[in-house]
Amino acid sequence: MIYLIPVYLIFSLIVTIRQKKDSSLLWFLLMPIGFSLALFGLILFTEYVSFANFIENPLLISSNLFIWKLNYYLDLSIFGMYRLMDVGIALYMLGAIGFPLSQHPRRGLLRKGSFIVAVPALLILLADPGILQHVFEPDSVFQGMQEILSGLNILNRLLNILVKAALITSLVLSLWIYSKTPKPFRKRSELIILGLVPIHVLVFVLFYWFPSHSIHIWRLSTVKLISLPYTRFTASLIFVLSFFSLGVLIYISIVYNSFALNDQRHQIGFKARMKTAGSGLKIFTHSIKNQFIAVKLLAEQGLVQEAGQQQLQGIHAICEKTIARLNALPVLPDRIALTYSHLTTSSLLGRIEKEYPDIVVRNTVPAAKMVVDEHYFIEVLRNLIINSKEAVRGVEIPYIIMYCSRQLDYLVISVEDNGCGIDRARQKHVFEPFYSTKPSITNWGMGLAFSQQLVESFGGTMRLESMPDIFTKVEIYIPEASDE
Amino acid sequence: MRKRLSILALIALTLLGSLYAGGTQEGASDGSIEYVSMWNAGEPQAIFMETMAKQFEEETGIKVDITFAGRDVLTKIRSRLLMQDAPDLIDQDFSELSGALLKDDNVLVEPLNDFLYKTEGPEGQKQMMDLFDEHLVKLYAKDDSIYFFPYEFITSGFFYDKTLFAEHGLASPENWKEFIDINQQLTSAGVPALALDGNISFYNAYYYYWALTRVMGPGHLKDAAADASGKVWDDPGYLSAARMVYELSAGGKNFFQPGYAGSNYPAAQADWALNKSGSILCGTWIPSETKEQQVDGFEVGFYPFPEVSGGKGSSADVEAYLIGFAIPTGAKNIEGAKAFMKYISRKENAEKLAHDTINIAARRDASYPDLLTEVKPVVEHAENFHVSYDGAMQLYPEWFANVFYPADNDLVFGKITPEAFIARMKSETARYWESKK
Repeated sequence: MIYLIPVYLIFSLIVTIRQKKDSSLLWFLLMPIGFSLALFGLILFTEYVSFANFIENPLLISSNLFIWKLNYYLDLSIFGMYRLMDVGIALYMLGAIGFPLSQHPRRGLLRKGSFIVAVPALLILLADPGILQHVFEPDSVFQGMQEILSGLNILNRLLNILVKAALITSLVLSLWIYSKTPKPFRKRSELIILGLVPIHVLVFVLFYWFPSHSIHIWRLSTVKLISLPYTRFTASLIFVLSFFSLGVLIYISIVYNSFALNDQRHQIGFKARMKTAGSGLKIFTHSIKNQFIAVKLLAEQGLVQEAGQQQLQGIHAICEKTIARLNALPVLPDRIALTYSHLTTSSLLGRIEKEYPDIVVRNTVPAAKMVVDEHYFIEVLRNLIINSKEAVRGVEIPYIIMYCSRQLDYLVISVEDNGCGIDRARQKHVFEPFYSTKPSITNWGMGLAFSQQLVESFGGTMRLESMPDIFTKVEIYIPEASDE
Repeated sequence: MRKRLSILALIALTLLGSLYAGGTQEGASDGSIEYVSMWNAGEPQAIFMETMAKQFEEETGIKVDITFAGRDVLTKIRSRLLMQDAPDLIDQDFSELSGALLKDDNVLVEPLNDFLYKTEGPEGQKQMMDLFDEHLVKLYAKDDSIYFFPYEFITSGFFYDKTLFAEHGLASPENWKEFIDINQQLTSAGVPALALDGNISFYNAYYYYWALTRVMGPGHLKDAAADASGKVWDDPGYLSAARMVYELSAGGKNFFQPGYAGSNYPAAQADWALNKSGSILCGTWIPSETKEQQVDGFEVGFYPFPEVSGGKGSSADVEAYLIGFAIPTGAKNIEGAKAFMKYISRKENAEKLAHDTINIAARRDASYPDLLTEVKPVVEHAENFHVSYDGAMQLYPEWFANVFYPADNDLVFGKITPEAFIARMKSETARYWESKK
């Protein structure tokens, strides 16, 4: 059992080092630290009570002597042991509520949630046996002992309910946030819930009686009357749970880490490909252009000799036109400077509506604001509309609808058409650079890939849904900006 | 970043703060002894010890540094004993001392045979042992070695208010039949006959252990605890004792106060002191513990657990529960500790202990406090002393806590029949020992 403590602390350290940019980490760390602290207190406490009552400590089959020797240096009294549990549980509760809340993009919610859970955490700290001892002055109130014990019993029950309520709230909160989380962001929530459940269950079983096994503050101040509530069954259950929770925690950390690494790799790979592609494109277009120029020069020489004039004029015209188009090809920039501003959805979609009067625009949240680079965001929307227009070419009654709505704290702008659609196999690749479902000299397959990079830089993401010959819908999720 | 560091620093401070428990330990020098006491500061025994320490220092120049650690003294100093940083003197009841310090082959206290048999008594007695009943002190010996030095004697039995009994025309019973009769009469008069705080298992356990001692004589609960097969429980004496307890319980004649199973200490004993119930089966500390609550005219009476017709035990079998000192192995000033023990056992000091703390001194020629005068004839007529709970709690504490208590509580509360109790004890005891293989 005691092995859990260093493992949890090492785990916390590793997570801190690896994920130092994630501010929600502090909330998460409160859980393993709080749990380790509470567990350490519990092990010391159960060992103390077991020895005092000459019974075997069900939670500590071996390492008993190590615990006693360790306490020689710590010099913890039973009150100190209980205090460790108090502080540990309070920290765990703060973390258990604060962490899921910190995953929620709305900052105000975190503040309110933390405040709510801070009250029971504070109450637990106030139920410190030293404070209770001081308040009740047990040495002088033997006659009122019955009332004191009844009062303590009520207090213990209240705190016990609060701890359980906090743990359940944490899980409910995680599930609620999960249910409200837009689909593209759910994987992260799933991991959080999966990681939290076994630890919560472990804490729930270990501290199910907390703090009802508290010290009776009475005249004789003995722990002789305290019996440990753990049976062999619960002890076995705790051992299994501790291994399981540890396994899940390690699994989650690996998966979570690989997610982060994949994201990083993805971004690095994208940038590299963009850079290579930019250089290649320059060389390629330059080379093609030179060849056309050569053909054009040859054509001009032919024109001077006045032989086959008509055909040569045709060739000349084609060369002129192609060179002009190649000149007009955009140069992929190595770096884009974005200029952020608060924009309402009505102003953004209003511009699109004017530019493309043939598409239907519906906006259910006209006053909602987002923080984006206006120029590039409009470019993203244009790109989607151009894609849709190409897709509906040849459709008898085509439609392109753009609508804007709100999901939790995200604004979702969708562009839907009833065009040719994209089959499932190709859907996986549409956000990859240089992948196009309709490659041409002007269609290099960069539009959606570049758009997604832009949207991600605005703090959002893109999602595509399509059924061949029925519809295609691309959703842009952008965090809604507060009025502050 | 700064904010994050501040929060981390705050967490670290909280953790460090939570570790603080206070208290430092200092080793004893030659001119002092360190005594870690089982008493709490302010308790009569603590005040007595402080006085003794002061007088001892004046007389010998040896300073006694006392730490009043409370009843968990042995648990509190366990780390120190394991790390060879023992105090010079500790005290606790002998069952506790045996359980904690004489476990298996791991003896953590100094033998006192030489001190008891080769040291002259404080008033010129040939040896220190002459101050005590030798049989009594030897009850807690291990392999012929005596490790503990007593200063307080406790026994248990029924306490009652003589005035209340007189009002109802009752006298203390001498046998089980009379006991049942007076309880019946009190119950008929609307007074619950027996007081019991059911949340304290060792108070509940008094009934079966005493009943068995009267039916079969001392030593049989210990034997039953030690029998790995559980077959010892087949002896009809165990069932007879269980029937006696069941007869008193809610399943039988229901002599206890209403709701006794859920009664939280010290509710029942407080009500008993207020004359809301008849008798209470408890240790000799109960008259002093309830002294402040006793109604006007309360006159403490005492009768031993009633004898049983045909039983092998008798009221000459008296429980001996001793409290005293031990010198831990590694103590720095053993001679100083022995000198203090000898000083405490002087007659005037033993009398002072009895008088100030309303308890019985272990020294056999010391007088009894007024509240316990009725106990004196019972102890004086004792032919055989046995340890509390027949030694089962001391020798097999885990069995006692995990096997005996749960079944015994159910029997005392009338939740299981005597037959079911025996069957359960038989199977649970066998299972317990099986799990230890």
